[in-house]
Amino acid sequence: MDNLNNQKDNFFEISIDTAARESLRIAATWARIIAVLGLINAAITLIQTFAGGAGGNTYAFVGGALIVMIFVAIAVVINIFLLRFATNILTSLSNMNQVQFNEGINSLRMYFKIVGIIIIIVVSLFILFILLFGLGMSMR
Amino acid sequence: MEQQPSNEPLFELQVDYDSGNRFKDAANWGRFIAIIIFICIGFFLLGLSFGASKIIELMSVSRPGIQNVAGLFIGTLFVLAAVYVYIVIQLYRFTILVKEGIERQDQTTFNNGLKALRNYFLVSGIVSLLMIVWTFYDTITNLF
Repeated sequence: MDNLNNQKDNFFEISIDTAARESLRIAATWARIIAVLGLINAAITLIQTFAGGAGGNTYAFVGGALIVMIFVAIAVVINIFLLRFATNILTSLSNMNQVQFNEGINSLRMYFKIVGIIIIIVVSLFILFILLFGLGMSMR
Repeated sequence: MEQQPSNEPLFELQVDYDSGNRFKDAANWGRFIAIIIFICIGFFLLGLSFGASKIIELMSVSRPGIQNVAGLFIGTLFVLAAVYVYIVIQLYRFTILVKEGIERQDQTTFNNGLKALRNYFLVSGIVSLLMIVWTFYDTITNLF
């Protein structure tokens, strides 16, 4: 129990001093720009997909639109976490709110976590595709 | 002697137990992302080095005339790869330094980690801005 308390107290030796505050402020400002651009990009992609229309092949359009919507949904979730990180950090730096600061860092953690999980899925699918392709080629 | 008023706030934000753990978790995921992207850039550069002519040949189907600016196009891709290498290095530095700073209770190391995070978002932001400008330019020139 004492060990846990010591461990908890140890964290308090690091503070967000002037240098750290300045770095976080710039990081959060640019993170906000990236998030807004990402959300705009997602909206443009969605508009482009549906503005194009079904054309001749309805099934191909529905399939394509579904894939685009999944990608757009992922992009929106990622950028919302990035935006939350930026907003919470910028606000906490101006009003010195520890709870909001912790929330901001949690959003950054979630942002990296979701990107990491997506990378794991993409890499797994890529490896699976390569294996199936190799298997298909060897069976010819 | 009268004391000068300071702009420094009376209470500073702390890296407490919660934020410390969250920073460390973010650093773990960030390091994983940095390593994977670094490997991807390696493969991209290998493909670019040995298959540049094939890439130009494939792209000329959708964009006729790209052969005339092949050197410039491939050069731009190399520059872009170099920028991404810098971005990934900054992300990796953030993950290492912030974690080390918290574990060793070293304020300077922790601050250097945050500086790396600042550089990561700054350069990523500039690249994102350039990309969106390029996308708009490309869409407009394709329309007219």
